[in-house]
Amino acid sequence: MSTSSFDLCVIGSGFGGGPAALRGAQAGRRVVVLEEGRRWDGRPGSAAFRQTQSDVGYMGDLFKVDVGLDVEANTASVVLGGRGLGGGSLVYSMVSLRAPSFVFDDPVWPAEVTRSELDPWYSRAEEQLGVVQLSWTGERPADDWRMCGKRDLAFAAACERAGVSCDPVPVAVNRSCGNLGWCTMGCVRHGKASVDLQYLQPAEDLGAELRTGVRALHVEPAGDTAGRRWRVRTIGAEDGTAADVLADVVVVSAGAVGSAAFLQRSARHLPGGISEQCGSNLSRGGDMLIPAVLPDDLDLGEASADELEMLPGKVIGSSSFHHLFEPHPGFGAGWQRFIIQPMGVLPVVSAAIVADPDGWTTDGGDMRMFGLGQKHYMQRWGSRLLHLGIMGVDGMDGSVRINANGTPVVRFTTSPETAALRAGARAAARHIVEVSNGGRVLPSWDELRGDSLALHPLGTCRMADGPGAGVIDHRCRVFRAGGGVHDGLLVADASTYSSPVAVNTSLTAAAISERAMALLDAP
Amino acid sequence: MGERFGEIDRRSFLTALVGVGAAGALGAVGSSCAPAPTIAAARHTLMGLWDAVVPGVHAGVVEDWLSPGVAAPGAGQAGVQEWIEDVAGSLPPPFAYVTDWFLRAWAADLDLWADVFHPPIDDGGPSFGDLPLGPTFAERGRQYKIMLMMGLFDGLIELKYLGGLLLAKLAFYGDFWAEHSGGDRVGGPYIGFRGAVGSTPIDDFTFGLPAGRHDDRLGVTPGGLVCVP
Repeated sequence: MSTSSFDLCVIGSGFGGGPAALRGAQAGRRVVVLEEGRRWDGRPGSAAFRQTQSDVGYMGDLFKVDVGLDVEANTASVVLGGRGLGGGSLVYSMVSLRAPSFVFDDPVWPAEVTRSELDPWYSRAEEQLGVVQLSWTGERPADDWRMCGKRDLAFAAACERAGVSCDPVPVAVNRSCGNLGWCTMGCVRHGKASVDLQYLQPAEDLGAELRTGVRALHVEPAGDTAGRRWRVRTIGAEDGTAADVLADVVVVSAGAVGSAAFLQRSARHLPGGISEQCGSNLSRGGDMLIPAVLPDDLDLGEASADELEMLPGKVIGSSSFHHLFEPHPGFGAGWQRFIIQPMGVLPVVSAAIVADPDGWTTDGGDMRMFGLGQKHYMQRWGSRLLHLGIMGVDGMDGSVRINANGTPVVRFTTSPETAALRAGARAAARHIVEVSNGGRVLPSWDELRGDSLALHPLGTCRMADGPGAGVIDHRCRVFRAGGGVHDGLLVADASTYSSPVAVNTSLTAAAISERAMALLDAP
Repeated sequence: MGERFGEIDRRSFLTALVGVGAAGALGAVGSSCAPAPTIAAARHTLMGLWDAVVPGVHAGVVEDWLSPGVAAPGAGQAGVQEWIEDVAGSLPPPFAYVTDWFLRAWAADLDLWADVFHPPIDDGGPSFGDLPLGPTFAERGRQYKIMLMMGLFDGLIELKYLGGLLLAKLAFYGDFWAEHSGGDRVGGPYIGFRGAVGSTPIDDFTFGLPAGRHDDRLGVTPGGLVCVP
């Protein structure tokens, strides 16, 4: 068995791992990043980072899939993430938003973590990722890379008639963007600012070692003679070759499912154990996808509805934040906080979302995904079908527990809070699309199937003031079960969120990781 | 059968097609590294198969029969067959992956694939969500795949056939051939979206007009980015 020694070992390479690797390398630490997926170079051995759909293996290898079951209800939640160097950034929509301050007002967060405390770290992450503010207008074609698309205008027009606000969003994109609309699959023009490009490549330039195809099993004390504090046990994802990595600091950033599973596998090896909270409070980020059909005579002002298209442009270019500021007037008591973003969804995926398990035909159109059925579908819906992406504060009603083999098993129920969020979001969608514009809201996945999507899973290793309430402290250090922390063992990714952040999750993970690394050597 | 075209349904058509020779051709190709002579011999049949499953027509042979008068660029024009046969750089022809990476990856993610790719099976059959099957999601997915294969090939349950079909569909949406050859992408406009991947910027992606009602309650970061306070 081979053993290698580093100052800092980062497990996972997404929005938590990337900042940890770069800031560690910049601090002069000898850094290794362990990533289970592959490296999307396009050229074996190349130092250049390249994402391209021309690689045959790309699409199938790109998505990490976990399925959370609700056994009693016989439903499933599909948890999607990125797999490969760059983690979730490989498949994200580039929307980079700071979490609202009300999120951190919730006492489940440690008192030290507030929006104002995180703001400098948000700024640092925004700068490193190259986040820019999109706009409706600009100088053509010079500003195309930072402009909103037709889909955004259609959504904004519909919102305006409903008395609901809509604004362009900040997006991590660069001048190479060609508005092709396939952002979540990777960008052939390298216009998408992902963690591999923005964090990991600079880290590698500073000497960080990026290991791919490596599965981290658990962490344990290295022992008195090892010369380092921690020993990370790994195996090759393909060949099963065992190897040890020794490090003084281990940052776990394997995502909401992966980080919880890694800590649970490590628990019996760690003196003092870990909090029993580990794996609880899994949230879907309030994710919903609500399909809706805009009317043919939608009023687009100066624009022609005949020229409307839904796919070109950034996959998300705008958002309505309206329902973060005030409750929806048409939906009873309570306040479900959520945002609505019009998403560009590939037709092949769209058909799966829109169609019910029986094919669901309407208006004489067949919604199936194959053959002529899809032609009919696109002819009828291609320029009017809007997918509303919802993110909000749900009930954190999932969990991650490892089985006897150490494999994570994801479970979900649907709590009253989550049900209320979904009902509130549907009410808002109907208000915007149907009541105010004469369009039609279609059944969403959870309505059709009882199943749901989790594109922004979070919360299994939540921050808290102590191990009775959470898994890590405000500096991301892992609690011992009985109090105190494991020195040099951190978690930094979206699993650390104490509650849902109500917006896209990527930037907060980066900011939390930035802060944790800055405080690494603090007393 | 889910999709009916007059008196012909896809199951009958594909069954007949397979009977003509697609099964043997696919089997021979999929079990090796796609030797060119075998592909060439099966070319016509494979093209018919792609056109039957993937949106689009090829020389009017298949879809003109199924849907007279409907003409559009599609699988053939997008270069599906060429892409499948093409050696890309140091990589073998994509079809070779049907027996290697593709099947392994697909088996690993079977539950998702089964859920996403609805089967064109009998209308009278149970839907995925209604299958009275085993307790796990993956088990339902496995059963679903078997039903799909039986529906498509009338009992010829062979994963590599479906692997081939999915490759063709990916190729269509990816316009792989055009990407490799630098040619124009033609697969998209008819069915309502631009030709898939490509690398040429889309210049009319925007109306370039001010829109929406700005929310005055939003803040702005020092860097000029919109944020919720």
